[in-house]
Amino acid sequence: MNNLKRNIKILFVVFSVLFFSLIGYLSYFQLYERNKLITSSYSVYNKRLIEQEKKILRGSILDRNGNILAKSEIINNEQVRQYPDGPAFANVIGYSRRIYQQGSAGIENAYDKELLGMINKDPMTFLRETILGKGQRGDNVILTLDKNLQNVAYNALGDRKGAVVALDPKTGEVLAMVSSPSYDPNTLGKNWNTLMNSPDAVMLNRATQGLFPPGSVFKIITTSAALTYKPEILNQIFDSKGYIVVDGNKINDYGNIAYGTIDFKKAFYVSCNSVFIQVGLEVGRSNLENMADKYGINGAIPFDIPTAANQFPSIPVFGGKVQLAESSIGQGKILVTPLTMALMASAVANDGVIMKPYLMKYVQDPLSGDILEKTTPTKYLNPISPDVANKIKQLMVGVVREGTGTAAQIPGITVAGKTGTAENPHGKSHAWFVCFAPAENPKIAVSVIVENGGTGGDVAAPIASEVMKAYLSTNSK
Amino acid sequence: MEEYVKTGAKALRNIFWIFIIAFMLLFIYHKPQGINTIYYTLAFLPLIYFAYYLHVRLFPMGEIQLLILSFFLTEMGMIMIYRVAPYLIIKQMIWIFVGFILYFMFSYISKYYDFFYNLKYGNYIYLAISFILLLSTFIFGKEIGGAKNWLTFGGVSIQPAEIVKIIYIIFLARYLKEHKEKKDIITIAILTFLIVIIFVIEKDLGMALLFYLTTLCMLFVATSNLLYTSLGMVFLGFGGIISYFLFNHVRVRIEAWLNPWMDVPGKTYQIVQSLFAIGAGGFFGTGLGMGHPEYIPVVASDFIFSAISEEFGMLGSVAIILVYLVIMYRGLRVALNAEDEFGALIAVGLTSMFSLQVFTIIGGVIKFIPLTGVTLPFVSYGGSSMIMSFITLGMLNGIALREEENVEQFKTQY
Repeated sequence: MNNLKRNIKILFVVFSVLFFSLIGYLSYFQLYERNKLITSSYSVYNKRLIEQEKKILRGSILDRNGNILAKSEIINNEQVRQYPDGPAFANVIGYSRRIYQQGSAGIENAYDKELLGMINKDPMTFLRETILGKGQRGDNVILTLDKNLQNVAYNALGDRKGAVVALDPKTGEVLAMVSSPSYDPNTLGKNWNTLMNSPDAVMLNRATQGLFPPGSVFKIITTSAALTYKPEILNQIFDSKGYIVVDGNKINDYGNIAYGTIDFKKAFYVSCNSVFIQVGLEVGRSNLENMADKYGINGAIPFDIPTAANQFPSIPVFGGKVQLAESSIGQGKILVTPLTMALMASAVANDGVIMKPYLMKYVQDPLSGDILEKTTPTKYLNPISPDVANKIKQLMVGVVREGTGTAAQIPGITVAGKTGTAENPHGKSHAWFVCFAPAENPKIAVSVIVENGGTGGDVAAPIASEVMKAYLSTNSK
Repeated sequence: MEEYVKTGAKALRNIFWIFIIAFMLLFIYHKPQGINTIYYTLAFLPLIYFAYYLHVRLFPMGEIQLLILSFFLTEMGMIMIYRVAPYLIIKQMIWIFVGFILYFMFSYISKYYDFFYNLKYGNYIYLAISFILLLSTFIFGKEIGGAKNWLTFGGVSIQPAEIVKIIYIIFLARYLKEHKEKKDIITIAILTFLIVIIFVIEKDLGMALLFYLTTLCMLFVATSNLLYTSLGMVFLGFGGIISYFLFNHVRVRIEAWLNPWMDVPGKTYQIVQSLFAIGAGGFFGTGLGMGHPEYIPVVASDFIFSAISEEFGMLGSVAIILVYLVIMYRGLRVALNAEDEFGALIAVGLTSMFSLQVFTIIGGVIKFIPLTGVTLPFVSYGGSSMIMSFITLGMLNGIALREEENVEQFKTQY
């Protein structure tokens, strides 16, 4: 009987431990798991969020100067989401569940919680706001985009397929990000099926998710590798025959132009493939791979909205000579996004430092004006030294002054740029242009791609020029 | 004795207030389902007062604490059921009423529990009834909520397993009092294995787990043998692994527990919705009527704890857990003070079954352990569960009464 009593007491301890472990797990859940649960992408299955969205007037999205890009209004007792500059911003701003029931995209998706006013709300603040009638409004998201510049870039592309990315090389703020063709988010719900199945992929943000061969704009990276690892190469005199034979494969220059003897500077100005292949072969595969890696061409760029992973397939040690030759002129298997190429230009503009690109400037409570979240510029990559950056800058200035990029000239302002004409298996070449200006004190770096557009100097450079001109005319200081 | 009545009355007053405030809120927020519903719902108050009064008069030495705790739990259940499914409230009231009657009946019956011990061929009778009831579901059974373990008689569905619970506990108590040898333990192991396998085939994993663990608890208390108990836990692990590969429904439960995100629109929908609800509640809850517990499937029965967590927050749900803790404590106290080993073992069995059921369902809906469909005693909607919970309480009360009354006799004799 005594044993029995002892055993019952032990049983009591066991059951108590079980019950308190329930309480312990509940506390752990509320402290740690809960936030993960609310912010996770699985929260689309949580109907409470949709319910809450109905009660809350979704916050606005504004550009850097306070112009409205997206706002919510109550019309006939129903909340309606409006996008005043529709197509020009569609691929960046995206759309909310209010427009299309099944989901959201772009900034509307990335800052959903903020726009619903669900951040930094502890129970007491929530109670106070409910009593004061404040809880009914989401917070505003202010972007780094410049509405005018975005429209200029969108109109400059016109009905051509392509993308434009403009950013401030000193901070990483994205000033314009255009993808064309686009769609009107205001009527998305009605046209969903047509848009999704469109052969032109109108709902693909080409600026961040389009992957293209970089072509000759990649020569900036080849030059970076040469200047960093084998600086003596640049004093050599090269022989240009209009083609080059690598391991029995003949690779032609653009237009098969033979320049005869040519120095490195001239070769950069005219974008001579055979010279850059010689440079690439001398620099070597590991150095070139290394430099591409330093520029971030080995994965996705961290950004507010989804970005595709850049690809630089590694070159085999044996038998990789042809691939190395193709890689040093940006052909072959390399794939990059327009955003990555804008960052590459910004590295040259900003003494070799790439700032982390961003779209969200700050999040603001519309009633109190309190800043709830803010992005501060941070260094992202540092592929080259200031000295190398300066040398490449001089080369790029030459491209616009007397080389392939003369179409990008702006009177009174020194522009630095590099053209690219990327051959691709699907029809006409892609036209590239990357640039920044003013060269002495860069304020804007731009990358432009026109899909199947032709040559970079003829097609892409004028667009970039227009974008830079528009920005510098109002931000010349 | 006087003290007990005073504290009891105080607790009763609080239970009244909670009820009135909660239902006033609900009647204002949600349109009541006709005036009759209000009358029926309000009848709960005189009903529990009458039960309380009767208990004090009939069993002055009884376990009034257990009854008062059950008032609080049934009340929380009523509030949440009215909140998520108002049309069920009248049925639930009827079950509570039947539960009270059975509580008093079993209090009386269990006072003379030695009858169950002295019954000739008792072991065979109990086993026969248990297996007949369990196997009857194979033949006459109806599938409700994914498990084929219900019998239907003229519109009323009952779960034979709920009745077997008590009969099997009585059998084990009787058998274990006399038989503590190795060969006897093997007999029990075989019988328990048979019962568990029946439940697993019927897809009632919760019940299988409850029977198995309750048997282990009683075995430990009766034999003090840690080897048997640890062997039992090892077998549980093996059994779990084997049935994981053998039975699809076991695999689904365990996978949903390990990775609830694998198939949210399908297999793991329930547990994920439960977690969303608990997360939405946070520490303080959304407030009664302000959350969305209606998004949780089977919220009125299995998932009622998630609904309470959402609207009353973690504070409210911890309060519920603590009430169960006190019931467990009072139950084991009855076992501790019981007159003989048979009574003590019955009390241990009843309390273990009850506490394990609470742990299994709460642990399941908060994803602490794999989810198995059992009800939360007194709180969940459902007749079988409500009635069996009150019978459990009544039997504990009866065992306590026998002891107390013998003490009284002892006092008067000398």
